[in-house]
Amino acid sequence: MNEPDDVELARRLRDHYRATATGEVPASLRATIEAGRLSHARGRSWRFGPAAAGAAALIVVIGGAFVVGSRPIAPAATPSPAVASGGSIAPSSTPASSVGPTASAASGITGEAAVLRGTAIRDAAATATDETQFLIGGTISIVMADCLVPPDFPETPLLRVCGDGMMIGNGRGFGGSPVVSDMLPTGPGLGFSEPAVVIRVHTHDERAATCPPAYLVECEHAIVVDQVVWRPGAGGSTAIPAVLSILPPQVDARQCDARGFGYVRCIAVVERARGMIGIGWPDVRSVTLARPSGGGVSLGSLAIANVLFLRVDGTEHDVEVRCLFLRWASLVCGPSTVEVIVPSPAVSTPPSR
Amino acid sequence: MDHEAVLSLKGLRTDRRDADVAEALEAQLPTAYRLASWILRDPSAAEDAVADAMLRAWERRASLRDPSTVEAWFTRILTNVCRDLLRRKRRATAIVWVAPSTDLDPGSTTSDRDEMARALASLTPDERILLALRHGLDRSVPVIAIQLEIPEGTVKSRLHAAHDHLRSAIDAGRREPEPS
Repeated sequence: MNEPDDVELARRLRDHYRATATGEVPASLRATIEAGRLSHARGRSWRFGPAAAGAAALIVVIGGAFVVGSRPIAPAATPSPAVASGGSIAPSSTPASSVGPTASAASGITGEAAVLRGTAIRDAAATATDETQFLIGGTISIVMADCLVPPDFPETPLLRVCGDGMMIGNGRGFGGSPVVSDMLPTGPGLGFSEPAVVIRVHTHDERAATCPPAYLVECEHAIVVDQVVWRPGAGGSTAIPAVLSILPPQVDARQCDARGFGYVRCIAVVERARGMIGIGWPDVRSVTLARPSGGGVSLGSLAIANVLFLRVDGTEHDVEVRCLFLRWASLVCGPSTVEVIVPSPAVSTPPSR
Repeated sequence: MDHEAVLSLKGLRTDRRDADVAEALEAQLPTAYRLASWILRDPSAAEDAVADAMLRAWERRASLRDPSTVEAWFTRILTNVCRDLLRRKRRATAIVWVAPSTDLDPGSTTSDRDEMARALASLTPDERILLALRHGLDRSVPVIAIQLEIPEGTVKSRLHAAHDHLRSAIDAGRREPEPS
């Protein structure tokens, strides 16, 4: 018998498919695909829709595009996330005291720090001598342009080529704006609704050591993004703040890095898992990351991780998270990749003195 | 025609073809998402699978000789991604997902769907993929054979086996006592 001998079974299968295989294509999926194509485009603008193959420079503003920096962030000098045994991490809600961007290279920014804008960003990157973090603000854009790149331009994790970067604009166009490292889409998809952002960045990333000698200096001064620390509406403000007070990360980078996740990837994984089960940070007592046996987080183009949430009420949720690696440093982890993990209401609140 | 003009024309042709492939892939997106959701039983995983498949397809677009065959070509890529995902899934891990509650078919009760969902969960990835293509997308055996790149006879025998397994799983589920 080749075809189903049970008409009733066939009908039930068809009905089940119609009843359960439903739903609109999520905007985040379209954004993910678009970003992936941009990453692979290498000079060819490729977008869904009729505006496909263009040759002229095209700037697409993403409502929340983020980048990956794998630099481990050392514990902050002030109240940091409590690290429990067994690699679990407890979110902190205690405001940090002031630690400015000129703190030691071993310290991530917490507390009050100036937000650099425009040419000051380039100056800071050009004169930086180590991986000390600093804050930069502007409007984030993906830039797709003709590939006017030397044929021998190296494939490095730090240097951007056409169609493959984010620019931090100053609100007056993007001429001369600095380009930061890789991009990731988040949020509901492409749009112009939230172009402004403040991000914590560093230069002299350890990956610069892998760059060809001829590009070593450029690699060392490439701007790598660690975390988004402000978006419009956070703290009630819609204008990019000149000074920002931020909290310590809620996910302990040392725990993440110890498992090979990398800091931003760790946040992406945890945020994705949190979104899957709808737990708000106030309800979370601790988070434990684990890699499945036999490969862990890097399995071809997919990253797989287990995230165990312990709620304040004592209940547990174990979630398997799959994230899409687009390339070496890129990771797209569904709708909530690298969201702001510091609670929004506290982000721009001046620290208590 | 000088060398630069020839190169320029070739570039335009490539751009045009890329645009065609992009448009054809975009048209596959809704069906692909629903198919992956059903096969994987997890909208989040489906999102990842479709994105992964789309990117793989885009990377391999040069291998698509005829853009009119994009559906079979992309379905093959997508089902391969879904199969890999299902095989990797660790059974010990709790997957938090609740099937979307829809009542498109009033005749299909929730208990019917639950029973079918439990039975489907016991099938192999290949069996789920076959049933999705045959009964979900209503593809004929010859079309499935093309999409999966296997002989028609193999499609028929595997479908037959999948139906048998599904019926057995449904029967087994009915024999189990209801959880108290």
